[in-house]
Amino acid sequence: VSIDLTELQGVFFEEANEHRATMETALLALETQPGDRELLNQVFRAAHSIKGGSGTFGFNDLLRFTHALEGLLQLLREGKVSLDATLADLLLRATDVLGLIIVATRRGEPQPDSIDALLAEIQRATPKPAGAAAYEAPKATVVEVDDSEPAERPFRVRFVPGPHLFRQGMDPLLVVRDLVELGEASDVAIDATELPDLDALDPETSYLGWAIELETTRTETEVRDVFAFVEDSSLVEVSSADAPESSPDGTMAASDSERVEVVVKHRSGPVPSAEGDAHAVQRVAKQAPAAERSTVRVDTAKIDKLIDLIGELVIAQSMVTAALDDCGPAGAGARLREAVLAVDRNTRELQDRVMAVRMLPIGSVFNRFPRMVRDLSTSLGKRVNLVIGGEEVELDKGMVEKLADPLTHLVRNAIDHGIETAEERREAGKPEEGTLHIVAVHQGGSVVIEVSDDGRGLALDRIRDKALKLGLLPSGVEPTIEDLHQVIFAPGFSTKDQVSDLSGRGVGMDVVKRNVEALGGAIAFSSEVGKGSRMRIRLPLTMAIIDGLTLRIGEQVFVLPLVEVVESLRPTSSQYQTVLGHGEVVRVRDQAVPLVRLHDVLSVKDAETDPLRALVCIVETRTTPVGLLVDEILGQAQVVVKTLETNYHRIEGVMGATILGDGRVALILDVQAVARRAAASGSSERESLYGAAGRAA
Amino acid sequence: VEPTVLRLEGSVDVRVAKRFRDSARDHANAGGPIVVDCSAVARFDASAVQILLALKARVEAKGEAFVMQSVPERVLTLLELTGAARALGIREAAAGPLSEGGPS
Repeated sequence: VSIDLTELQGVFFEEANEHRATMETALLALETQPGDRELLNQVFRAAHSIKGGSGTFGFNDLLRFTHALEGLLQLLREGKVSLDATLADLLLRATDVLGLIIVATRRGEPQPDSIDALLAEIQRATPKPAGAAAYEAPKATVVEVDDSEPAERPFRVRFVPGPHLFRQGMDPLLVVRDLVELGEASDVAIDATELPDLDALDPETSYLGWAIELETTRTETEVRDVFAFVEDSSLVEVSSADAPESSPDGTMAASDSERVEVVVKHRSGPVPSAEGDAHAVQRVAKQAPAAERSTVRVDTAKIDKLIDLIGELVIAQSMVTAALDDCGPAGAGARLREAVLAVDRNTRELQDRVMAVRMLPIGSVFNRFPRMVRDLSTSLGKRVNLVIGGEEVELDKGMVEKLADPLTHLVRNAIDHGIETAEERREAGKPEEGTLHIVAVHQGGSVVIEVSDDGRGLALDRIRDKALKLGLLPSGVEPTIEDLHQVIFAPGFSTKDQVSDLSGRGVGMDVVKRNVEALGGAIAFSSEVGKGSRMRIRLPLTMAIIDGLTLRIGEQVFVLPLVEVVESLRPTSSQYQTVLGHGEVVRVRDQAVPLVRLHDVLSVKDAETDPLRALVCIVETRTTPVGLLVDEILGQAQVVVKTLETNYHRIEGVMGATILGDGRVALILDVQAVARRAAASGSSERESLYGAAGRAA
Repeated sequence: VEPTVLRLEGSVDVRVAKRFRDSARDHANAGGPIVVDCSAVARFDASAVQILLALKARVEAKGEAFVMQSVPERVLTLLELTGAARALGIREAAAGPLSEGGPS
């Protein structure tokens, strides 16, 4: 088996990013739980892990940086340095720079300038006997500062790396080096008794073992920590050389056959617990890597191919079902029908399972917010309590990734525009600390994400004034609250007179809305002056398969996403009205719903043009419900969405295509875009029609 | 007998371990003493060390000499710290410049 270095490095970089994120999360948690040793250990292990990998691949800048960081963290763990706000801030900035270094290293780009300045800061924060030694001089000498320094203790360490350690990107030499650097090694002996003859030697299997006699001031736990990342797959024995041997198995004098037995025993299961309580915490923490190993990293392209194939299978399956139906009750045997039903069930389940592979918890996006909220609120002199909920709610991977930007913008907005300063809040009789909620929940077949704050809310009069000035609202008519809430999604709209550093940059609300709509979702805003604002994003679970309403217009079949359809009806003559100078509406329970003739918008010939003989599907759009005129509703079906961009080219008003059970291709309509297009082709007067219709309600 | 010189370059680690093993085997099969020229080595990892140890064992079993030469200081430090230098029989003198010659 040859090892693909690029692939290994790819895994390393992904893991390095995860470790970096872990560091950040744990550091933030430490601010509220400063005494939590396990959190500190998490930070340390993460730094140590990145350091180990960067050493293996020879990424020297990364190695230098994480080495320095690790030195400082070690002192924190030993209680020689205490974690105050300044140091917490330094460590957080260090994780930022670490992120930059990882990116630069991955891309082979020059390292960020900030690296040296921050290294100097880290070293200043690391008091002397400290990080033991700079990386260039690995032979650490422990400087005895005063008599209160703990005395050196001899340890006997036995380390037999697991056979597959190389394949995990680990180098036992570096582990041994890290161990030896903890103190003075009086003896480091390689045990090569397992090493086969050159002919039989598998170059990717580890055969060596080490026996080390070490004098160090460190504790046994610290000595064991060196093996934190190899312990699961390796044999590690640490014993105090002062103490008598507990069993002959633990000594190097044991015979080879005994030794092998011990190795096998330890490798096949977790290391049996022989430690006291002091070790319990550490063991708990070690469970995680073991669990991680039961996961497999798979290229998303492979999963997508699989999903694509399942999609084809679903289509083929529905064709079989349709063919069977065509045969009539007598045309096919009961056994065949049963078999087809069974295949159908299994296909659906297979589809669900494969789709589940692509699902990621939304927490992977939410994770960034604690840090962001902390930094932003500090820079604005505000106090914000962030409450996150529903991190475990899962969404399609592609959607989770694309949600990051819009959500970030909403959170920024909430802190920048929404939540007031502590003084303002006090004057308003509110608690000084504002609260920002980011919550995800499952609701039916979709996921709803809410970003809400208890800030000042939106001043509607200011929105109206600004919107009128920008020409975003028709003049002369009093806009409804709904209209005003929609205005904030218009391009170029911002209520702050001065464009702030924060939300003034990057995407505006219009882009947020477009991003959400591109994911097949919808966004709604509500606000109450003095009480706060709420953004509500509704998203489908996946974009690959939707529940659709199949309908006929002329000779053509189209699909409407079911989630957008409110109701369908055949209008009576009393419900159908034309509004002079505006267009047609259908009156539904006292609300005037503008009518969009789909056959016009889509240029379909031979369609039913008389609304009283056709059907109206009422769908939700961002401003108001809209009635779509169609000839006939054929039924409901789960359809596999195929993008037109890949196979043809993008068509405005169409979100994709699908193949129906009878083999026909049907276009899936993008309701929002159809409404936009209808509004545009209906000239500006139709735009105001929506407003007029809304008010008529 | 003129020793066979096995010249190593760059990072000798698990990425090149298979090639290194094959080359080490070929050199060992040629018979005679072996000099491993490490002057151009950037680093060894444990996979390289174990191949060197297996090569040393093979050569010495035939009563021939195995010498590692011109190990750069940085590389030597790691080998010394981890006990590999001793196991491979690298002496202080071996860190000196390589004497000319020998097929590679």
